[in-house]
Amino acid sequence: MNLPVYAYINLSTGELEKRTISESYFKKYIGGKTLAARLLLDHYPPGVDALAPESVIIVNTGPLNGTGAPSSSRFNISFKNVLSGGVASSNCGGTFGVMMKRAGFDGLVISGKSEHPVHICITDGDVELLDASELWGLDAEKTQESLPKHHGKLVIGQAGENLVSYASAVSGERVAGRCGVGAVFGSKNIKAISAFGTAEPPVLNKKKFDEFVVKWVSFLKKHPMTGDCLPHYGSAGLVNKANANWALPTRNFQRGHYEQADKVSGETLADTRLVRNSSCVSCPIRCERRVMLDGKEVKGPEYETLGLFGPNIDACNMDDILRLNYVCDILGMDTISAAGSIAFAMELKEKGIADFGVEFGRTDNLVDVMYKIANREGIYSELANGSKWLSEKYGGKEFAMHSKGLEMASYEPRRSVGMGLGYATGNRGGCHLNGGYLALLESVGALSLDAQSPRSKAQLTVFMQNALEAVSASGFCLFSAQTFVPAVFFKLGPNHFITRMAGRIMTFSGPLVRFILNIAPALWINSFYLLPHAEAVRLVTGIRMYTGQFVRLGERSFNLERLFSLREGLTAADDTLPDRMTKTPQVKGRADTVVPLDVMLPKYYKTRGWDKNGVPKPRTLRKLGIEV
Amino acid sequence: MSAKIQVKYWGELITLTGKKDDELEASSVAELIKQLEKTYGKAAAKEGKRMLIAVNGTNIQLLERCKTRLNEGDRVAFLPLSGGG
Repeated sequence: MNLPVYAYINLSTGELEKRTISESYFKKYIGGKTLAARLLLDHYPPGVDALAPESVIIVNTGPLNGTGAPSSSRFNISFKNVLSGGVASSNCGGTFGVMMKRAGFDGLVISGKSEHPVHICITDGDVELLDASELWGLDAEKTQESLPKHHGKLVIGQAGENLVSYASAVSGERVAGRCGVGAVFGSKNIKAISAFGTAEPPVLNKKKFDEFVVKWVSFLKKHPMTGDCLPHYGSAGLVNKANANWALPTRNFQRGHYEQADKVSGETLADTRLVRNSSCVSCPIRCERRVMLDGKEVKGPEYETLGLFGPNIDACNMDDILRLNYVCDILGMDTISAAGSIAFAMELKEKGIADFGVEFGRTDNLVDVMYKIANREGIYSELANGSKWLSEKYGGKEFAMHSKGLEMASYEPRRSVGMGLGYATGNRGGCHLNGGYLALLESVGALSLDAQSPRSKAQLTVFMQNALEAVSASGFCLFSAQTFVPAVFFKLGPNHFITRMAGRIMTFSGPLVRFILNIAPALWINSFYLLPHAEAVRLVTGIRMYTGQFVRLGERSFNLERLFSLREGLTAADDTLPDRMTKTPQVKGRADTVVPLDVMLPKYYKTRGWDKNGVPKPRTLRKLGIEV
Repeated sequence: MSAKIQVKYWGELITLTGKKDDELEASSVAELIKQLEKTYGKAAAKEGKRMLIAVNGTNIQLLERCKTRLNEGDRVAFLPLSGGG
């Protein structure tokens, strides 16, 4: 069995050590965010601040990275969440993960703080710590231009250097955006990591795997979601759909519908700005938008950026959004948290509480504001701390749209209550993906559950969270899992009787889903129609991985991350949403347009095997083989 | 009574109708789809039915589905399904 090799790097002492992960860890935790969560629990000193020199950050891959499997270039970064104080994982596409693996390393465990800016340079089995003083102060784009051309790169911009709480790390034009990973890099004086290697990542059963990949790529290309919707419109295609279902956050989540949303929709983007679509390494889906900005071809915005720098700040200027997307990327800032913090500041101004020079409907000054935030200039330094911090200083907690300190993604949970439960329970905080992304089944997809009903949402959220965890852990993009909605529902469409009936039936599927979760390891099947990732893991590693074990792997992952957050001081009280979501109906007089979190949360804990305080029961940990 | 409806096509419907924007007369969504069929053929109507249909920006599933009434000047968009995250 080919076991993962990690480089342990202490930046304070300059010590470098190569360690092989044990077989028992590999079989149990696989890689990516799951193995990283285990290593964080093992190596992160309890109670240490996210930005302290003693903090630990893990940059790692999954077993499928670099193997040529579809959509398998994602790498993971796990660390202590700058915004929440709990666990964080941030996921990114691009070439860095693949290159690190080709260079002979499955992951890096980085501790300490360098005395000077450092470039961690990984080439074919060697790790060097190079002085990066000359790169300090450069934006992410210029930093990458200064690094060896053929290396996979992971860098920070000015926001990371200045410890902006939602600073990101940038790889090519892909971004590990959430939870402040860039600030953790900055706190350790890590300006860049680059990797280059020529080794082929190991694949145990090469012939069968290659055959499987050919079939899987064909399946992805034939499926309407991955073969048609995503290549044509990218995630940007969700703007009009979310808007049509009143799930598009508008004016800091005051509403869920924006009259002029079409001006910033994926369709309009495709019609007026799209130059071509592109992809990460070995991805047949090709969701990336390429657009022209000031005569230069750049990466186009994702749905989140369109929604949050558009309707959520009461604006619909596509040109300004393209520019803000680009500027946030080169400064190294998460567009979701940046836009969320700005929206909160705009409402503070609207209510006469505080004035940061930003107001609803105005985007022409926001590029300037982004630079000031990234450089922590004057009062803008406060915006760099995120909406939770701002609400604690100025008030307005009821409309500070975050969970656990992490700003919510662009889905209005009062029209997607399962997504609301996901925001509240996600280990990262207000993240749609870590939250199980029920919005796809409730308000923006082909198949629609009853978006207002709490029924079955606890069980479905648990199942989806577990499944997405496992997909991430293996090194796959979550888009590759979107084929689990059968193609027939796309062909029939959302208005067809059968599609509507399927949605209704799923609304009552909770007990069945819970039963499946309980017997998961007994599901010794692999299928293209559910989670083909399990079969890929089996063929590459030799680990007996089937759909049931795969979902159980995700459950293990979710619980490990939960344990880390609990150890660092988070409690059940943090599994919450702002009052605007739980107490103020989106539509006046319609009591069902709030998130019934108090109804769903106890069921969620029960389904997870947690006690009423949200702590995994000893029996649950034994079932998952987790030793604390 | 039929009303003049501003219609916007996306995706395959642009190819099938040869237009992005249109004006049709209908008093309900069901009648609008019949108009689609009458004007552009069965394939256009079939494609329209399987898309997300929004009346004045709102999904007809949140309204009265195909029975949703249409009034003079209403905007109807046929939106392609999408995904992401």
